[in-house]
Amino acid sequence: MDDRKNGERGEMKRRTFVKGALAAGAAAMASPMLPRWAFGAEKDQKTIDMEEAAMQIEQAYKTDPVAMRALEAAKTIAKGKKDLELTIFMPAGAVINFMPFTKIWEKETGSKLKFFEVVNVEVDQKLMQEAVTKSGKFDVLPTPPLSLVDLVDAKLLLDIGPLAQKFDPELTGPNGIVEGMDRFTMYYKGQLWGINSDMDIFSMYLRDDMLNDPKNKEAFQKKYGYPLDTPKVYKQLFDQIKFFDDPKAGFAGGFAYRKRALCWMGWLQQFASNGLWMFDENMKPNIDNEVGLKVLEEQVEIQDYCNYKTKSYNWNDIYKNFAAGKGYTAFGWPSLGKYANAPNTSKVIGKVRTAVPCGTEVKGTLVQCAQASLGRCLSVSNYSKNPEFAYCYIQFATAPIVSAFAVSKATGLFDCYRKSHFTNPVVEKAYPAGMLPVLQETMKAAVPGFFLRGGKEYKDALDAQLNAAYAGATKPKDALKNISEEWEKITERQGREGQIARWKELREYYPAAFKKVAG
Amino acid sequence: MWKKLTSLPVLMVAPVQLLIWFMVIFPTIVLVWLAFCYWTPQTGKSWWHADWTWFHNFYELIFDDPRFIWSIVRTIIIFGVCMSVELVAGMIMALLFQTKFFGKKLLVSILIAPMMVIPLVIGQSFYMLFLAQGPINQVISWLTFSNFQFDWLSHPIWAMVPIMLGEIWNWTPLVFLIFMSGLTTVPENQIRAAQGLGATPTQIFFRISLPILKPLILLVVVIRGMEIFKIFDLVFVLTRGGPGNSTETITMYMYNVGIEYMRVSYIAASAFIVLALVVIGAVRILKPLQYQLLED
Repeated sequence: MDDRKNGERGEMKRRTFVKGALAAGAAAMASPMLPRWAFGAEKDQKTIDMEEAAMQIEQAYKTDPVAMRALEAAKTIAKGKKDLELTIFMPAGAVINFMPFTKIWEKETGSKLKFFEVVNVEVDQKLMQEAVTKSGKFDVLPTPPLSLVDLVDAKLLLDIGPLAQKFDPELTGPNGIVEGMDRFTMYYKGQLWGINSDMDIFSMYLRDDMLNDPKNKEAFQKKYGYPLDTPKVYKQLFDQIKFFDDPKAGFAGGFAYRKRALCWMGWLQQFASNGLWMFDENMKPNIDNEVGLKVLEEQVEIQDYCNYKTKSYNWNDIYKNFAAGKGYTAFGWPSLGKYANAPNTSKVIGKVRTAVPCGTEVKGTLVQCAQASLGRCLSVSNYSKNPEFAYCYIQFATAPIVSAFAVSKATGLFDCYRKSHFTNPVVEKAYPAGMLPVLQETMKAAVPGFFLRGGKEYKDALDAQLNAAYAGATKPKDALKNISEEWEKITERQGREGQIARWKELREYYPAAFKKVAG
Repeated sequence: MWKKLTSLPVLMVAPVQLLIWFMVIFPTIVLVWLAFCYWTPQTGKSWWHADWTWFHNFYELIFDDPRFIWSIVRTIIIFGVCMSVELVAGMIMALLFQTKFFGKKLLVSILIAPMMVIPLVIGQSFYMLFLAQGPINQVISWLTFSNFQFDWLSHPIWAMVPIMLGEIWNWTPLVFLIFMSGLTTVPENQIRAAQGLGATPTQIFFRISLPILKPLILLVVVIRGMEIFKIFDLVFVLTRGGPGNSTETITMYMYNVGIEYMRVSYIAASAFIVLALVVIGAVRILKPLQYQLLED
């Protein structure tokens, strides 16, 4: 240090001290904003993902004609407009799916993207609030399929059919959205209300290592009289769960969803696999019968071999326990496959087999059904100040190649929804080996949920009674009777004619095997 | 009159008063309107174009919705149990803290700490405590020399226990603080006189302190009762109203029906029914105080 800057005894002068202190303070305040690797620490997975994706997508998006059409149109709209901004409303955790191409969009169009995040469970309420207030605060909305009908009837969503015709987002064809599921997640009354950005399908996950173990194979064959392999029917699955359940070793035969708000999926999926419609053509409930009762009784019985007999596991408890290697099987969304393959969360990497959910043999036909009640599509708000510009963003974000980068985010919320995703090398890297083809097959067995007006009411009425039956608070027979009565009330309240029309539409999208036996 | 209204003090508080009236009165008017209409956002109409249905919502709630009635019954049960325990525990703690001892101030600070914890955090903590493989069952296993793995949160009756315990743990300190202050207002000379006449501490408490504290106790019951009626966070995190609807309190019911199902006007009507019940209850409880004030 130059002593002439300081006092006689080399002491720091006040000005020098203040400058140094300010610099140190500024550095201390800025340090939390720097990535961990700036301190010499290893980059975290999120940063690596984002940097890798950014490098690849810079070249790749230009080869995507769907994306380029949207981009060119957006640039035309944005020309001459200062401070053009889009507000994208997203569930928390999904924004990372958009990060790879946000900068590209902003750079190309000269506009700004603002993301508004809300916790997943509050998205529906926020959407309905927007329907009531009509504030126009959001341009792009994350429409869940369960709420699609309600949001359309509440006049929140813009019919983007004409815009889709103008700019062609390639919803069909080899790069199109997965058929069947596209109809009941994006369309209502024949009109297009959004473009899928995430498709969730309930898949079956099994411990591959345990299935391949010769000792297990021998013991199982001896006990049950048939080979141990991927279960095709529910009876085989339940046999395997009982076989592998080992409470003394702290190993669960399986993990089942028994907590309030999660009970309905498993039962509905198994019920559907018996080839029975949950409503008849006049929207009369069709579940209080021998089949409904048998399914519920089987589900009640098998829970003694699941979750170490606990019925209060949330979905993330099931994910954690399965990935920790504490159970043989679990149903889950594609995220469970990714979670069980991630180095920082899983002890069963490479040991998990994904399979199409098992089904039931009905009149000689194997009917496999997979619940497809979650997921999202991107919609344009009816109150957006820039609806065409917002639509262009949606088309860009869901374009075949651009969206591949979105769904490949290991830490994001979104999963494959275009046919091209299943063979895209960027996407393949994010999923465990062999999972994508199975996911694609599973989507062919997709069964729509309560995509009716008041869908959440139907779902909750079913869930509450199933939950009560699983807890022993209600007898299965009474639970089914109560559900039927509640569903009837809801149908009357929502308007039977409208519900019949929508139900008729949804029946078209059931799997082929189901329709063959259901008639 | 006009001079009074345009006087400086009135003009200075007028903007805030008007704002408060707008924030309270306007929503109340909208709520009353909705309670007598049929309206959900799914109708696609604005709420002021809702169809007038007179008392249909009220009728359906009272005579055709057992879920609503049972949610009120459950809330009253929670109120009864939690209030009783909080009053007794708070009073016992307050009595114990009447004498001076080493570390009293520190102990008071520790005891009132639960009040500072957000109910959501309490819910999450009690969720972990009451899991089948959680610490509560572990302690019971040690005490009973058995493998106790009871699934508290999935039992239709016992699922209430974690909810009530969470509520009691969170708010007993407040009751304790109020009673601790209240006990300092009991006249010393009356106690000394009673002691001089040979009264036992129990007699002094029941015959002198408790009657003097009666108004305070009633006030605590009303204030805490209104808060207990609003219990939501604990129920949401612990059980979501399950199993089935067996722990669904009135606020959980209103959340499910009003926010999840968006039956806005129906819930507006239920809000008025609940308000009426709470007001009637509060007036009944505070009636003795009215007489006391009149006597004074």
